[in-house]
Amino acid sequence: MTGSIVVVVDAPDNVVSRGSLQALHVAHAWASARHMDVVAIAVAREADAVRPYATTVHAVPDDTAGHDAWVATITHVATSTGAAGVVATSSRFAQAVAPRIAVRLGAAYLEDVTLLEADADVVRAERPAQLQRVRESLETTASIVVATVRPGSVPLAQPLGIAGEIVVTTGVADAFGTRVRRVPTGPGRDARTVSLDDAAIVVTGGRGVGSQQGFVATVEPLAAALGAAVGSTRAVVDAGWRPYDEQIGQTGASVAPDVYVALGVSGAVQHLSGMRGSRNVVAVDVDPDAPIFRHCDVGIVADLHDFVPALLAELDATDP
Amino acid sequence: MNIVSIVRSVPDAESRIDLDGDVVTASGAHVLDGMDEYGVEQALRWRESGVATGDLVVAAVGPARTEDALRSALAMGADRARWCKTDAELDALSVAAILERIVREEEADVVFVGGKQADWDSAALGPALAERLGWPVVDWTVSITVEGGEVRAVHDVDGGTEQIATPVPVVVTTQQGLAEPRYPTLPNVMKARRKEIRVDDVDVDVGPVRVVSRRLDVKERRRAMIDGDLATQARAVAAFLREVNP
Repeated sequence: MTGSIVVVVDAPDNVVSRGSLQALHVAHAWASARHMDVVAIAVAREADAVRPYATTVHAVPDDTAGHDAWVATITHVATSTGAAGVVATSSRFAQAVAPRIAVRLGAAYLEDVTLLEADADVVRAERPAQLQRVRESLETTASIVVATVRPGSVPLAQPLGIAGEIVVTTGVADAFGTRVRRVPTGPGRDARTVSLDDAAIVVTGGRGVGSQQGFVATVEPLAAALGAAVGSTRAVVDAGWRPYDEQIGQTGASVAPDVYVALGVSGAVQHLSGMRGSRNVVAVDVDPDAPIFRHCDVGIVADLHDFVPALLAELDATDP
Repeated sequence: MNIVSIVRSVPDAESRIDLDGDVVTASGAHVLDGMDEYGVEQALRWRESGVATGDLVVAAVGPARTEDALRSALAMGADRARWCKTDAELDALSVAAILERIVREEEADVVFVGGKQADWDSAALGPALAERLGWPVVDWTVSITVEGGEVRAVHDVDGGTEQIATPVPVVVTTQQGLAEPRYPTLPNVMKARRKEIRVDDVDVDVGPVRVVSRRLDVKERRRAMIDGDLATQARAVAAFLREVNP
């Protein structure tokens, strides 16, 4: 075979993340249409977990950090393997490095796609626009295409029944240098136990939760019971009840979990744009006229402070 | 230190979006993008505190309605504007190619641009522009200071925030959390009408990606409202959760 579809994969704790499995699903079909190899890139300590999904796994140093280093590394692997495509899940990380890789490779960029189909010459894709209210169909005949895949919009890849060869790739990032350095004294905080990008269930609290303590009393226990990630609305973040990185919506993260539980969320268009892809939506709010009830599958008009304990009791009682 | 702030004209968030064929229409006005606004505000604060000494230039690529967004930024306090006026439908990489030239002509040290504009749902402009310029990029910035040719910023990353430092020149993408944008005062709105908007006539390259069609993305939801007491409601939600997430 000649040429490759390069896919950037992360596998924390040796399990390939849901987002990366979705990127791999796109890469598998793309490589198959072009009779090309699937070439993965992962940090060395996670490379083993990726072998079932790729012909080759480029293992890069575990301390590869910063966008500059990743742009140099991914571009190097794409060039050296004759890539026709470069794919990653649209994390914040990928949304920052993918356009730079596209510029560097002279490639077309298909951003945050919800569908990607390749034949021998053409790549067709769909992506959102207008705060997720419009879907665009795109096509390109560019010889190299960089794509990011919107979380939750495509199936998870299946193993290929192979054990891909690990190729140790070092020295690329060093040669490029890193201009942006982390300041270790910064107010960074630990990563969440359940990341928003990977969560099958998201429990989001809005202004109706009432306070920082309200989150601890309602949103957090329900999220824990469901194994869900915690999300917030802009109003909540503005009020200082929750950190910015939990925010879902136009100015925050976009999620598309199997289940989205909105507690005390009114449903402003900016917030809806971050959760429209959710497969199922449960909404709880005291205001029967809240716009969120036009965008839910199951709606409960109730005070969430009363409803959440009742739901937790019901989940407890029915837990096998 | 010179600053260029990139702005874009987008439908007001409260507008109803519709399609006329493949052309997007909005029920309300077009406005300066909300995330771009944070960059204009941060630049103004740096100029007011003496960090930035040169003109604060706002720059845009877009059709006729873009003038309103530029006037809004000028009314906030920007000194002058650069505008590549075009009706061409351009993706972020094509826009970055045009802006690269403007940023170089203005000898900017810092470029602010919104993290993700509301019309094209794209977060690519800042990184693509940085790559064309050969500069680093600080994305999703929530606070920023500059001292001795070095920028220090707190920005969102996957699963958290981190503090980073990088030398200028640099592209900074902005969002909510940075300095809250000011409302233009009436005198400043009047003054903005007389400020210079230089319109550049440039050849645009539409790039290799073609928009074939558009459709409204309407999600059909069950919208089942559950009446009854709390126990009944809780049972219904628990049953739904088991049904969709076994």
